[in-house]
This record gives sequence, structure tokens and C-alpha cells, in this order.
Amino acid sequence: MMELGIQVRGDWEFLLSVLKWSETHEIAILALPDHYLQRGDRPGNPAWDHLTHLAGLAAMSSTIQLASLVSPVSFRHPAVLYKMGVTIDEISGGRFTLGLGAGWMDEEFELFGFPYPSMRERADQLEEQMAYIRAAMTPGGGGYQGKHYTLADFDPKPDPINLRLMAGGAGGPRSREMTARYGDEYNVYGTTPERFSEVREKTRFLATGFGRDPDEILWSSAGPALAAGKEADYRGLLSKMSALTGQDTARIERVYEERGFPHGSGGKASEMMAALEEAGCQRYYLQFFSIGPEDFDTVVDAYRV
Amino acid sequence: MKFSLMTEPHLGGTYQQQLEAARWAEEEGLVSFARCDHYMSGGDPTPDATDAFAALAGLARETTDIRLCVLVTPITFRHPAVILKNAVTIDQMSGGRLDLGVGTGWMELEHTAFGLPFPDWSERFARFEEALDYLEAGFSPEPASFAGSFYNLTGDIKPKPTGIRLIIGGSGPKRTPRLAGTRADEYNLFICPPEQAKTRIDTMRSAAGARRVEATMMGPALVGRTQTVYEERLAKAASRRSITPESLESRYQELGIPIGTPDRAAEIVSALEEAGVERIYVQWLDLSDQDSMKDTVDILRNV
Repeated sequence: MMELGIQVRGDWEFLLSVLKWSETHEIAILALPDHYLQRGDRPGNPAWDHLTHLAGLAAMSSTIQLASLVSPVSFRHPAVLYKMGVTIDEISGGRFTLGLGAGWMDEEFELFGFPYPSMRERADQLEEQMAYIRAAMTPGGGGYQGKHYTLADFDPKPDPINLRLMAGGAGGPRSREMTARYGDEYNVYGTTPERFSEVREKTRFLATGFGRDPDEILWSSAGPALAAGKEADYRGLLSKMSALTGQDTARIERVYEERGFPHGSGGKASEMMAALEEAGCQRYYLQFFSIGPEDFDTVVDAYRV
Repeated sequence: MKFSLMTEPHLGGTYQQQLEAARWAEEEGLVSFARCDHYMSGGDPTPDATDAFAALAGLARETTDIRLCVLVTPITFRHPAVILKNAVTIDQMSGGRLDLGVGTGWMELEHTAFGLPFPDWSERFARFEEALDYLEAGFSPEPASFAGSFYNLTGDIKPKPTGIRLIIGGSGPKRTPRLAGTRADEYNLFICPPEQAKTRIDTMRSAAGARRVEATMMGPALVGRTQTVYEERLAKAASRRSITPESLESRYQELGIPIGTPDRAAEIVSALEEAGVERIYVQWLDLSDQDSMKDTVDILRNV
């Protein structure tokens, strides 16, 4: 059965309330995005450090899985990502997945003065970070020698209990390859079931070529939550999304259709989820950025397969 | 004299052991629980070394009153934006209980092992000064920006801290105390004899002028309730370092470390107080022996 995860952002009190809600509503995993600025926001809107938040959530929970979805490559050196990852892994008793991506929101890099090289360079760095962290996580991993990062041949401690490494991407050749080599989970964002299936098959083929058991890789996707059982509720959510993004509702629906984001009223979202599951997707992260706590139940129910 | 507990979990120490120590320190009414920020030590095999901010974030939620301190985070590990965001996040999660120590970084070994950049001392100091400017701009209530040669920040950063105190520390004789006097809420000295402490604190105070800056000291202690217990601990500590108890004792004495029975330790503590030290961080290395840790802190607090 497809696992449901949710992705939220906000201040600590909000996250704590979502954590409590998730633990009592069969949510498999709670994920936080990693942004120091919220898209479309004025720079003055607050943003926190998601790994710091996740460490606190780990201390406050006992069963739910936690994830970083995903951390942009140039915010932190892989040594810091690995050490924060392994510390959250320890605090949570093995419930943490560290997600890495190339980064995309130009404004936050500029605002904080982070380096923001070309997409090609960021993809190179991302691949190196995955390799570095995988080596650091693996007892006897043998270190890593890259162009951007190096890890000496020693065993950093503590060893992870069950730290997992996730790649986030759109399913292109580079992210397929780095997942096949180093990933425990591949989060393919915004794809139709046909495309998902194709990405999955290609990645599994590569993984086998690298001598890995392709079943080790967990398959997931993510998308903005926009569904309800009743048409009127769905229209209400759609207007909220429209107000948040400044796009008209027809355009939103068209884009969701094209990109394969499960959405809609009646059984539609659930059917789209079933099709993704059929294509091999094992976990779906619902992004709750435009959904208020009052609508959590309605929305999640509409996605359950 | 006030007291804090300083731990070194890069020498070994699980999150649970840190939690146990922090909870004890809270129950005892110590000012703060502090830990270092190192990713490894020279031990073989490398002992467990957790991330300071992730560990303090967990502790923030599992303690209620005690202040939590990183002493100190090296600017070589993280971009100042990440230090800033880690700090304001813990600030909110803890209800304003974070003490943020920032330093230049010094342990070359961990930088080499993890491939972290480790420029020469003058560049590290220049980066450190810029990181302080960056944090000040990011923490200031008004929108502020900073443009340096290593870091720059443009715009209005939120949230703002509610209770973060900035600590600058180290053993430098001039630049560090001056910088602490003008920039920090707390000047933390590494253990040294009272005369030396006084000179440095005076340097800090003259730079601070009317600013209120707390003068604190961090270092180990080796004490026992009786001469016999003290001698046993001294012998154990000496054998770990493969030296004689006599030479360890004289080394500690020269460094100004509180040693001996409660009476003898009391003299050192009051000399430090006389020199202007307002609070001592008792540094405890072995988190698996918390009984001795509790006994040591207890002796010093009650001298």
C-alpha cells in the first residue's frame, strides 16, 4: 500500500501540532523543505533551519519517520549534512531520511550570500555530496576523493542506526545515476505514472549494473496537496491555492493535469494515486503549503488509495 | 561564583548521555549546559562525535529552564547564514535559552579528515570578524545588510532572536578580549592563572567601556572530598596521560586548574573570582562517568 507523507513548513509550534496530528492519522513520514526564504514571500517573512527543527521533532516523537525534502547543495558542506544527519538519526533512533537536491530558488542564495554556481556545477556538487555522505555513512567506506569535496579514509563515528539518503530530482539522467549509485530513496517530483515508471526502470537497470540490489531503493514522489471528496471543498482549496500563487484556477488545474499531480474531487485524486502506485511509487509526500490545519483531514482522506 | 557544565562529546558521548548530563545540570540549578562543536578527535577508533546544533536542538525540547550553549562553533564548518538560522531556530524552540559561542576554528585534524576548508590563521580571523558582522546584521531588529570580502547579506532576515547571547572566547591575550569587549555578551577565557586572567579581563573591560559583558572561564578541575579520593583521581588521570601523578599535579597547578581537596580548590576559585571571573564552566571529558562529574561540580560549587 502506498505510504502517505506530508510536507509542511512553519514555526516550531505549528510543526509540533502537525507532528501530533500526523502521528494519530497514519502518516508514515513528516518532511520539511529546506529554504531560508519562502518563494513569493517578502524577504522579511520568517524562515528557520529545517535540520535544527527536525532534530527537535526527533526528540518529540517516537514512531513517525522524518525527512529532509530536500536540502540544496550549496547551503552546507557535506561534512555538516552528514553530521547533522547522523545526529538526528541517533536522536530519533533510526527514523531519519536526509534528502539532497541541487537547489533552485535564486533569491535565497543571493539574499544570504551563498554560492550559486550554474545548474551543471550544482549537479556535479550534488553527485559529489551524495558520494561523500554515502562513504561517511558506510563503515569501512574508504573515504572519498572528489573535485569539490574530500573525505579521508577513516570511519567517522557514530555509525548510523538507519540513516537513509534520498535524492530529489525530476528524473533526469544525472539524478537517476546518482540515485542508482548512492540513494536509498528517489523522490521524483511532478511526473505522470508513465514517466515515473520509465524513470524507475532506467534507474533500477543502472543500479543492477552498479552491483546493487535495485529493490533497496524506495520510490517516492511529491506534489502540492489539492483534493477533497466534495466538489465544493475542492473548489474552496483551489481558490486558496490561487490566492497563494497568484495563478488563476484554470491554469492551476491544467498544470496539475500535465505534471501528473494527483488532485481533484470525488475519487479522482485517489485514482491518480493508484495509477502512480501501479507505476511503482511506494510513498507520496503531500505538500501542505496552501492547506491549513482545518482542512488536513478532508485533504488526506481524498488521497488515500 | 556561578557555574556551568562544559562537555566534549567529540571524545565520545551519545545523545542520551548528553541529555542525562543536561538534565542533571538543570536540576542542580547550573547556569548552562555547554558542549563543544567538533566533528572528531584524535582517538583511535574515532569516538562518536555528534553535531552540536542538532544535539542542542534535541536538548532544547527535553529540558525546560537551563541555558544551552555551544562553546564554540568554528566559522570554518558552516556559512554564517547556517549558523544564524541554526541559532534562531534553537532560540525559538528553547524559548530564548541559546548561548552562541563563535570562534575561528583551530583543530586542523578534523578539517583535513572531513575536507573542510582550513585557511591560514589570518584568513580565519578575518572570516571570523566578518561572520560576527554578518550575524550582527542578521540579528539586528531593523533590516540591515553586510558586504564583506568573504560573506554578504542583503535584506531583512527573520525571525529575530529572542534570547541569544553571543560568546567570544579563547586564549588570545589582546585581540580576542578586545573583540569580546566590543561585540559579545560574554567573554570566555580558557583556564589560566588568576594574574593572567585579570590582565585579559581588564583588557576586555577597557574595550567594553559601559557595555555589560560577562567574564567567564572554561577548564577542567580535579578535586576530591578527601585527600585520598583526590589522589586516586589524580593517579587515574595521570595514568591515562602516561605521566606521573606528581608531574600532572604540578602541570595543573601552573595552569591554574582547581585541584585537591575542597579547601585547596576553594583558594583557586576565590582567586579567580578576585581576578574578575564571574562564572566557571567545569569541563568534563568522560560522559560515561557522570558520578564523578556530579561530585566534581558539586565540590566546586560548595567550596
